[in-house]
Amino acid sequence: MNLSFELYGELIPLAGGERISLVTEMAPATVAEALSVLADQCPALQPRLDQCAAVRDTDILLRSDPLPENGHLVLLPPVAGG
Amino acid sequence: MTDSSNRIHLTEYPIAIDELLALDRYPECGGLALFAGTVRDHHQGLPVESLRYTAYAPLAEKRIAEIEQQARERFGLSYCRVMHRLGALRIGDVAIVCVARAAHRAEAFEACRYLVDEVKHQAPIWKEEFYTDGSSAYVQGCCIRPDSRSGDQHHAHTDSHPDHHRVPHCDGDHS
Repeated sequence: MNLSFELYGELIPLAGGERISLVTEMAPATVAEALSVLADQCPALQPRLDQCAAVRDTDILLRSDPLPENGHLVLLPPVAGG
Repeated sequence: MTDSSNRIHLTEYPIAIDELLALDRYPECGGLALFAGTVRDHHQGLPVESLRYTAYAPLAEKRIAEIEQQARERFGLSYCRVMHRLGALRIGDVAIVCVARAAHRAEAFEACRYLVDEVKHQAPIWKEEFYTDGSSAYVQGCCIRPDSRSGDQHHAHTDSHPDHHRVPHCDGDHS
């Protein structure tokens, strides 16, 4: 399965880019499982993932939610506007 | 970054404050509160030279619109507006403007504080600071993950105490 992660804020310099694409043999069933795959493949992000919101379009997903069918997640680290 | 043509709460250009006041409308209003957040030249003891704001615009627009609606209902406002800058800002530039108009000043003042606090803690916007020594860092902020401990606390608090608005502590929240 193709997984893709769109990154924002401090995640970008940690990952070295705004987008990460991965291919997995086993399709992750949940958001949590997809993030576990990401942590394994991109260890620099692992310490930050627990504090990130996982988003599909404009919906913030729970870790227990099913992974979107297109395998795409937007990851939002803690926010600091204003 | 997405297409900016439909943005009404985010802008990469200097904010025209006068246009947000709606002074030619809402004759029932006797109170207008305005908050403008500006870029300061220091943060936690470090000299700041400039900032860069970035956002996940689709959700930031949605969240700010929701916050405006909540403020209108909670404080009985006739009108409110929030506008946030994106991109590179210099010291003294206006980063955020919140306007609240109500029949009386008390509601306008309270609503204005509510608007800026909620936007700071809920809208997916990030602040990268550039220091005079050439280094840079993202300001640590508020986790908006709903199933995290901090996210649960925030939503439980604002929902259960609608008349006593407080905001959760967030790392780096000093402005």
